Amino acid sequence: MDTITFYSYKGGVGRTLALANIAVYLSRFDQSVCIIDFDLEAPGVPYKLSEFFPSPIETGLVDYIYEFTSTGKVPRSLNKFLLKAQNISGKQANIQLIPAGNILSAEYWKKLASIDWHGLFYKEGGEGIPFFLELKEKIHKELNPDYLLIDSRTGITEMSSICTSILPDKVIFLITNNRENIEGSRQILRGIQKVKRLKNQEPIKVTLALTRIPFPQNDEDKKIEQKIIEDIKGFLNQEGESLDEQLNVSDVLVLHSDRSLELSESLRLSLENITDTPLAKDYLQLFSKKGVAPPTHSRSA
Amino acid sequence: MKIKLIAVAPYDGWAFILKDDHVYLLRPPYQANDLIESSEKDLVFAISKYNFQECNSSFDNFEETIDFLEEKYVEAMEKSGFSLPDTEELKSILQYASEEILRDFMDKAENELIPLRSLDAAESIALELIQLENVKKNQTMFKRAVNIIKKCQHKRNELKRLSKKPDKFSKKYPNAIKMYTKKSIYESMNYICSTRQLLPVGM
Repeated sequence: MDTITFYSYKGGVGRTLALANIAVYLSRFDQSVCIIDFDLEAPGVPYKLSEFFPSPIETGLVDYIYEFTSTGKVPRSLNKFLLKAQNISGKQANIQLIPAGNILSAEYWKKLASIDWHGLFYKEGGEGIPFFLELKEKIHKELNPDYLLIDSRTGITEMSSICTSILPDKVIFLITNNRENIEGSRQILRGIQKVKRLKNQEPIKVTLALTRIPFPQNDEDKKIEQKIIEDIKGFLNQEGESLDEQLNVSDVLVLHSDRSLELSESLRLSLENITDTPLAKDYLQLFSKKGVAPPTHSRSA
Repeated sequence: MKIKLIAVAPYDGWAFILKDDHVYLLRPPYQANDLIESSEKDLVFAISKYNFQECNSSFDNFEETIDFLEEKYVEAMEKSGFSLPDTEELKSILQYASEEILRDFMDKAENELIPLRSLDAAESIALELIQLENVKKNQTMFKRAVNIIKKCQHKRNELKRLSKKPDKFSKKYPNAIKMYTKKSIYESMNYICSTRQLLPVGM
């Protein structure tokens, strides 16, 4: 199981949509996918994948965590916190989703507010680390997906840090071209580089993707885009305070903005076909070049 | 949970135990990392080469096992002529002791007794020390004595946790432990708890 976190320092960069597209893309190639919606304060995965998960959501990750924090017991099975994708026009989408929970209910927000993140991680004997590692390994054992995709909370919080430090093998890191975003992102990237891994965990691999860049119409636009990428790389690679936080970013991919997406957000990759838009091509580049290994077998490529 | 003590080295508190059909080495200061998976081969080697004494006692939990090992250790120390003065004796020694001797007592409590889990002894030395006029007047010594008491309390809490946790922990997180090992998870928990940062952002 390959665990990939989708992270952005700020919201509105197309993170959840990229995750949804990658899930569908992988499913096209007979890869099984489990998604965790960890953006607990603003969950969005079920909306992006509504055609696969049309039923109302009753329980999810917040209920799973709440059961643990209120009883001290790890829930026995994942089944009641899990949704399976419905078949679309006779095609099987091998996608399972652990949603955040029923965000339309008051109960969800009360449970979320009562979770003591500080106690889970910073109080002596706090069992947040084994609890979330157990969740990951339970997914591996009970569902055995090829990929576990995690939609992270933004910013620097315990919720986002679980996604960027404890759980992932890889992080797909989405950034936009403005100073506050890039400076915050550099802090997080340096942090990810310094994460102390557990036994049997490899260092976290990061793929950077720049979003909200218009598709270049001519050579001049291409030059401007290249300059932006070089500037970002230069800033990220600036000398750090200490050696262990020195970044060495060599590649930044671009997910171009898509005008039609601004008007009506939708998946660019489906089970049947790939929409012929620049963004869809960017996604394919992201999936095939970096972050996700190309599937070894396919059914409809 | 039954713990069978199968060999003991009373002079340093090390022991081999049998738990759930597995042989483990248990060593002072008996923290989570001090329970190490071992083998019968190591046990035989320890008995023949390192003077471990064979033993056949059973206990219901780690707390009882550790208490027994502590008693054995104190017995062994007494046999070898090493013992701590009782409270009255200690009072009279400390009353007229020079600053250097007071420091020696603190060193002993901090560097020898606490690591060997002789927490009551370390604590009673520190408690006597903070009552002395010479120590009260000296801020550095006073703070150090208070720190020794705090350390003892902290160690006691840790040991309580250890004696309750191992099996519960393994049952609670079987898949995580299988993948990452209990030792590595404990290390990560302690590290995160001490740094108070899941993601090490900033300096």
